[in-house]
Amino acid sequence: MIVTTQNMIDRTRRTYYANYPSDDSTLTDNEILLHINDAVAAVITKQATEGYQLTGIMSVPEGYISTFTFTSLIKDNDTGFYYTTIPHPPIGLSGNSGVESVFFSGFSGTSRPVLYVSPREVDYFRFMPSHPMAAYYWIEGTTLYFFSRTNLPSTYKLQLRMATHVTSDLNAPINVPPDAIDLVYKLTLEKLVQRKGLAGDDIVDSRDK
Amino acid sequence: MTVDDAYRILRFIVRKNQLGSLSPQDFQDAFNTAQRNYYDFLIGRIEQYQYGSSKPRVGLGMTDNIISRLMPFYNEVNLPVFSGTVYKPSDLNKIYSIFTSNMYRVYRLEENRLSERIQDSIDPIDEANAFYVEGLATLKIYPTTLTTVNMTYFTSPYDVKWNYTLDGSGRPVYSSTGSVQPSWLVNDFDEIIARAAKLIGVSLKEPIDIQYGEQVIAKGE
Repeated sequence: MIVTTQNMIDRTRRTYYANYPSDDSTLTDNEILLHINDAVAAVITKQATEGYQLTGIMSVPEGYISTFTFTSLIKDNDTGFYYTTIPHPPIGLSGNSGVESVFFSGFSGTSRPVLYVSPREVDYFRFMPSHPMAAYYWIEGTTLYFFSRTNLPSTYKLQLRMATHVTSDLNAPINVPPDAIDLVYKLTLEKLVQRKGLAGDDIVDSRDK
Repeated sequence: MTVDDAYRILRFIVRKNQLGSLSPQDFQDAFNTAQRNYYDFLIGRIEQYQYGSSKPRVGLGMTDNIISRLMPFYNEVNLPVFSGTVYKPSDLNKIYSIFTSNMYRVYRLEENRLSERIQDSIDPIDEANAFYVEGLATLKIYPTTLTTVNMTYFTSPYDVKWNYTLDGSGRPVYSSTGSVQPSWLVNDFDEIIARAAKLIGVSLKEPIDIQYGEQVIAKGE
């Protein structure tokens, strides 16, 4: 059975309530999903860090990678920077390892990679000599900025390949390597068991907490 | 088991203890009070709740045995929703479950959590997260865009009636026509009759009947 995110939610609820949840159960899908997202992010960091200790290379296992496409690339006329909104801030691995690559599409192919520049260095770097076709990006929270020497054609799209801990399709296979699913599941349950132990002012008869 | 069977057994208990006769009206009053009492016992006695634990010793949903015993009073209806308002069925006693036409549960929410729930950023107010707040005659259903909901619920036991005609000597003779039969399963009758016997014992100040009733209530027949 291929595990979907919804499977993970249902499995967590069934374990939490030691059965199918009753109608008065208070634990909702979205609440569990938040915990699963947190757990996936924690497991990505754990696996990347462990891999780094073994190989000396900071990288994220492929099972977590997704490619996002952005068509709305807005130019800030004050700064000349382009920007777009990405689904979530990258996983906070050192050396910008949460992002695999950024490139353009929309012209029957893909561009060379857009190069990473640290937000700390961008204001200086911008005035450094560079290739006329080169473009550079950096990320601030959920905003990806980039600049290039030439104006961007309106048909261009931006592609962002990065590790992600969220999904927009609960019924799609979960973006977690099979060997890490158990770890995600355990971390999620660990958080929820703490919730179950908290006293609450509940007046519904025999409510399943 | 018919209402006449119940009356006959109760008369047998009363006669056995030399308490004289039991009129049809006294039987009906005792039996109807007893069955309401037993029904409340199966639903769950609130006096057994403790602070922080709203669980009676015996109560609805505790075991399938209890639910089976309440099945004679189980009902299911499809109710229209008028701008988020559902009118309760007139015979409703205890709501068992509410769900949408797409089989999403509609869970219960107390009034003092309503505003927090509506402002909640985690769970949207949609069919998959539907809930209701109970009022006296209506339920407020969220989301208000729902047009119908299905409700399962328990009705109260109907009052039984032992109808009769008078014979030539003026004595009442049971008539099934016009009588209202109890709805209980067979194995619940003894529990109800014992409770009725206790009530009659109280009425007649007869400690043996009271004791008998209390023993059955505590330990079963």
